[in-house]
Amino acid sequence: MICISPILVIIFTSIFVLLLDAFLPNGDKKLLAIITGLGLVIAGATSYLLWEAQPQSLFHQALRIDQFSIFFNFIFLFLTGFTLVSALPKFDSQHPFPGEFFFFLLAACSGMMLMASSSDLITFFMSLEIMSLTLYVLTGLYKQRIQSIEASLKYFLLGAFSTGFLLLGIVFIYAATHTTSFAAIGHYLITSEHVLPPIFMLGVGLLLTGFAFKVGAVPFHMWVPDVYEGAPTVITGYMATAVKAAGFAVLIRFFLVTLLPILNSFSTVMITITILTMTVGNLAALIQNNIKRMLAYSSIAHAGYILIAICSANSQSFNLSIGAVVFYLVAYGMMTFGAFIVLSAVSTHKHIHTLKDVIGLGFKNPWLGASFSVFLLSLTGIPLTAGFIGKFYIFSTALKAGFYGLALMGILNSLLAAYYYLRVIVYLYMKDEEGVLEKQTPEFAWHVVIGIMAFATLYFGIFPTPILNFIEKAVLALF
Amino acid sequence: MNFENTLLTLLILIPFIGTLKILFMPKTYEKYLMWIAFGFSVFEFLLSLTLLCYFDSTSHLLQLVQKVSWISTFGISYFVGIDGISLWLVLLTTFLTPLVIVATTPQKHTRMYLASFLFLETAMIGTFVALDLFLFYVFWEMMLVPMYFIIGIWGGARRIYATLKFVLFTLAGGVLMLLGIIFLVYLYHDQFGVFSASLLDMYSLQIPSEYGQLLTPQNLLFLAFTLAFIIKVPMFPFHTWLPDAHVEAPTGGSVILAGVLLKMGTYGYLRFALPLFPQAATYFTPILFTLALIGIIYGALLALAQLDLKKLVAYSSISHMGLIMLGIFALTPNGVSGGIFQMLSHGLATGALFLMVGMIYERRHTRELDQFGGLAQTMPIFSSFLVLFTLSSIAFPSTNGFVGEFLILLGVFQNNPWISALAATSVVLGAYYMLSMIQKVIFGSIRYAENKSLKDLSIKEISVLVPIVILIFWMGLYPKPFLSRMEKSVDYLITHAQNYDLGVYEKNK
Repeated sequence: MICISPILVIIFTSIFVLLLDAFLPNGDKKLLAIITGLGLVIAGATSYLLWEAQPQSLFHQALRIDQFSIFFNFIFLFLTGFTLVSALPKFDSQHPFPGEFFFFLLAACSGMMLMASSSDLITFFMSLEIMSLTLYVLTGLYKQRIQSIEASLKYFLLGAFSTGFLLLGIVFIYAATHTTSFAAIGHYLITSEHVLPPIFMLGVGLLLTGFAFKVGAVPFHMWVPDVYEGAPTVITGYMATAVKAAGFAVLIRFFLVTLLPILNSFSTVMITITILTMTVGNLAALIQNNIKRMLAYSSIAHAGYILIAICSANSQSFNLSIGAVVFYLVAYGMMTFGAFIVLSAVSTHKHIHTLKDVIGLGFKNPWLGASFSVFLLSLTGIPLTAGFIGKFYIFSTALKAGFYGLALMGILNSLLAAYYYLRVIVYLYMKDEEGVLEKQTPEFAWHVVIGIMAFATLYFGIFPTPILNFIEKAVLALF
Repeated sequence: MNFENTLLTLLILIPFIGTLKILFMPKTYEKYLMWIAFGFSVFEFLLSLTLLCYFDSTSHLLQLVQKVSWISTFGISYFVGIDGISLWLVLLTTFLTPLVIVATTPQKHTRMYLASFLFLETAMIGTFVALDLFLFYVFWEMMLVPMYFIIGIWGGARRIYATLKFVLFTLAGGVLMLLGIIFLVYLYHDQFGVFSASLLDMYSLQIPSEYGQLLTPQNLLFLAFTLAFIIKVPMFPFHTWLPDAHVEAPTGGSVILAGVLLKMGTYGYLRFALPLFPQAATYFTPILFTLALIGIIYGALLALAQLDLKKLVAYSSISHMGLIMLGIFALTPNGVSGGIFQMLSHGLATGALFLMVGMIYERRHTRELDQFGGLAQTMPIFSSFLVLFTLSSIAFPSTNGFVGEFLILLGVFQNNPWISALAATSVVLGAYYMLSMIQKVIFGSIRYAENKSLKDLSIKEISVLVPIVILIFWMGLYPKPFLSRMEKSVDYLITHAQNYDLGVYEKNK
């Protein structure tokens, strides 16, 4: 029981914060922020204490707490914490966030933590809904801005649609196997001597569709650019990183671990999705002038790179492949979140959307510009950044498993991507025209978040070994 | 850990510390930034001279080696060392950087300019001394970042196009090399059961290859590596980034680009492509010979047609680099030594020419040949230097260019007299375009009033050029100290091309 304490801490804090908000005088949100932060820290500390514990299954195998889920807990807690800190300046600017922001943030975090620990389709579905529903609201946090509301509605409608697919998939799988537990489904696959019933495959296919929607894989990516553009930038950063990590965590637990025996029958579909996701994401990003949209498409492309590692999971390269996915999620989380927070930091007074708006940022705000460049170079995959180690890891996996074509596609795609990332740097440093940006010192909170992200991006790029060891341990705990 | 083994690491770290120092210097010291950077780079140069003391020229083995495990999951280590092939290239880098810093530092964004150059120096030295495939790739790509900024921020009118083109071309070659590196790491794991990315371990690999077959692993790996290198050199038909990058880059950028970065391609070929994939190298040599020859003649013809001074020097680079590649492909002692020697002479002469182009551009704000004429009367010192460097560039006897080109042609002649004869036309063409450039710029009568009032070189500018002149004549008149230190490594490379297996040098053994 003790091992779900991090999740419980987050859930209780979220409810406490929600109730407290009702009794606090208007405008005083500092206390809420402090309590939220405290909850995150306590959850982090308890997770840390649990790191050495044995893997445990709870509630009739509905949850599985192992190093893998704890590692993801860290990712979620860190990202939620950083989102919290970067949102703080937004409480005094023109469009302040409402007080229930803290509740939704924590609820989303608890949903993600449950998701990474779920080992039953029902738990998975419920945690997914906790996460999604709160995110629909977070997306529409700017009630005064039409784009924010539109994004929220769009996200909600399409999300509900994909939820339908997921649920139907779960029903079909249940019909075939009479169980919803991952372990029991895995057992069924190993022991069943007959050809698998089509309804099972159909169920898996529908689930796959649902996953593809959540991680923003082509052809279920249509919502991504609109929602990412419309949502408050801080929330976009959170969605682009934490939600994606949660989606891939379940994808690993269910598709790679549970469905390992029948993985081959999906390889064609998966490879097609992978190549499409990378290529469509990059081609669309290539023509964007709006930075937020560009980063949205780039996040689609990055989901594609991660899918390369998932495609190349076979019996020999299994641990390597999951390790690559997890490391890439960490690296991607840092650089993408950092990039979005930079955007958020420069657009306090004006809305900075297009490339033209950031002209001269590199010299007007040297540290912001330098950090933004670090994130962009990392997204490109230039050495000494975490993004490079991540790409190296992913392509290693593909070559190890013998997917040369996939590796080549990935390489060509990252070349394509280099153009639009480097183009942003052109606007940051190399244009002659005077930009609209004013010289301003961003809030201290942003400085802290961006600084930590940039430092971590470089640190993991130069010394990846410590975190690779952690990931290795997390991956081994899956079995 | 003694001083010898950390020397190369120090050489890599000092410019990097300089970069940080420059970046974090308080605003009040803005005026002294250049001298701080200059101090760092001079110290670096002096330190690199101690390499000559520690280097044992009687051995072909890798010296001053340091190895530290880095990413153990893939057997990647921080592994550096030098031999006769890389020694002079390191010195060329440390020699040119202080000159560039003192001669070309602009008023605009000075801090970032200096930081970029010092960071670039770290990356360049790292590339030349890295003995781990992964480490080599890291330095190879790292160098793109400062160069991207240097061309993009301080370049000419079309700088953004030029810098993006430069970076994307180099990246395109690089990423395929990365796939090749990963493949080699796994191949090593398959054959020996442990992970390693060390170059020395790779030399002992048996890479599948079948005589006469095109699509063998060895051939494909060779192509992946060689593509990266010949884009960098650049060889025809991958040379199109070079004129843009050279012309648009600021003077300092052009000097380093022509002086050092291009040599990374030829160096990479010698260090990696040739010894790692000997059968494939033999298989593709005719094609590479042809490309080099086309480059030599095509580059020279293009240089002939240029009306812009900087473009002329840029195109002449293509021709010269083709000749260097030709010498290396010949795989004879003279050819390869000549190739390495010519890398140094080309670095010095072309670097100096770019500096001079920069100096005249600063005064006249044009680089068109037609706009000049009669400069010998108004700028005698400038004109004399220009003539000196031109002589080196066209391989005039007693300059270093002569030694290099002569050795290359001699080396190629031993096995392929006809190719040597064709390549020799570049010397004739080179003399033609360079001398007619000289004629247009400094001789004749003064046709434009602006040219009458041009100031001659300042003391600072002269003191930048004099060290280069001294080296040019030293290398031209007494090349032995330079050649003798590369001799052993080159001989070993040629005699053992098919079973290359470098060891680590240990003193008193």
